[in-house]
Amino acid sequence: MDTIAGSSNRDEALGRMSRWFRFNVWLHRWSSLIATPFFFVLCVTGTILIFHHEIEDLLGTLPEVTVPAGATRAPLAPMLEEAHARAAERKAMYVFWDPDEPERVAIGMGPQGATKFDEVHPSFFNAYTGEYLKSIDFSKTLSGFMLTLHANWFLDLPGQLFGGVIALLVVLSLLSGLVVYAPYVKRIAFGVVRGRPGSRLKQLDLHNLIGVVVLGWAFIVSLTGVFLALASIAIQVWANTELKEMVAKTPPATEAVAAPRPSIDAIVATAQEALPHRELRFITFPGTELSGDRHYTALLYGRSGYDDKLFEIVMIEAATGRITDIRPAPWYLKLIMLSEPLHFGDYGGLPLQLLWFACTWLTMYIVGNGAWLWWTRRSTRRRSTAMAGAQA
Amino acid sequence: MSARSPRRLSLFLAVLVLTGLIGMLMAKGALDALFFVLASAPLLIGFVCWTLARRRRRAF
Repeated sequence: MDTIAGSSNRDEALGRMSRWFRFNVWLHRWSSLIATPFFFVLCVTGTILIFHHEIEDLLGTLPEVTVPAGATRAPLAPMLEEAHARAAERKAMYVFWDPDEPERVAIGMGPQGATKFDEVHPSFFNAYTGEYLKSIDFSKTLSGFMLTLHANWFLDLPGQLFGGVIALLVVLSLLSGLVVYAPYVKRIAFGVVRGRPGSRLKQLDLHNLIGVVVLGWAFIVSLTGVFLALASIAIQVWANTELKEMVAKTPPATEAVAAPRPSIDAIVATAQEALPHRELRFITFPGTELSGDRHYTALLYGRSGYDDKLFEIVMIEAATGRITDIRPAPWYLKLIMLSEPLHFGDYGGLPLQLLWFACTWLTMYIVGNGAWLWWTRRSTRRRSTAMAGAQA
Repeated sequence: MSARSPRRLSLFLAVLVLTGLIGMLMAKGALDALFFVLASAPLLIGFVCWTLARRRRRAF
């Protein structure tokens, strides 16, 4: 009885596994096929974006900057004045110090009345001499074009979400691919590629081998792609919840108290003094979606390790220059901030960029050859059915 | 050489240690280093195993 029961249990288990296996084959096939054309676009644009700094240097998008020995940072107020003079129809929306290019400072100039940063043209200055360098409309540069195509398909939020769905399909394809791969690897030694050049067997073995070696990379890059696709929504959630709370802490009446208003340099100094162990990299002016109407929002980043990617928020009342709140970023913004370096691979210099490049193109290869394997199998089946029909 | 042989296991471990060291040198944080290992070690192992398997098949 025990033997019969054991055998029946085993059959049931095999049946269940088989259903599970078949489901994963189906999921792997269709999630990959639906994602394939869009994924190709993401891979090609992603490859170019890996090297965007090098491309910008080559195209001379931003002028070279020399820093005088022993120089200290120049005051921001004259730069702000010049930025306004050069773009009178625009208003200053933020100041940004890029940690990778400390010799430059960018003042984001947006259309009057705008609260979002979509149409900002940054004006670049030498951070140490205050000399005006250039104003750039990034949407008209190669990197800007590629980034927009990669991030939102020129469709703003719907495009971002669509990109997120494609990334999710790739995640599903990878996970289901792993289930499909498990029995395969038991039959064949790892690394073996059988068959003649161009044969289906060779392409299948290559698909499985390359697929499993890029799996870890592709999984993280796709998953972080899903998180990054939700960045705009996360920022909106933060602006509608925590930012509102932070702004509401200051009663509106205090605005009328101080005159004249503190300068941008005083605001920057106050923000930096609030968290001296951190580095001020981004500050938004009042009247943007990240600051409300009466405050500056300063983002101060850590100076080492992963803290270098994370910021704390300091709210400063524009009228008085007084700090009204200091908070760490919420968990969902931290998740997005940590996703960025893992997605773009921009933390380890050229060797890591080359690794990203290799992994991207290997992934493109398995996506392409997976579609080819599906197509040839389908054609072979059709031919077999037609021949069987003719013989009957 | 089977997939479970000590030689292949030592190869896997050597690649993991090597990529781990490179990852720690290059990356800014522990998570970066871990991801570097995750991305590069399988790639290197795959390439070495593919080369070994190819040589072995040629020898036959």
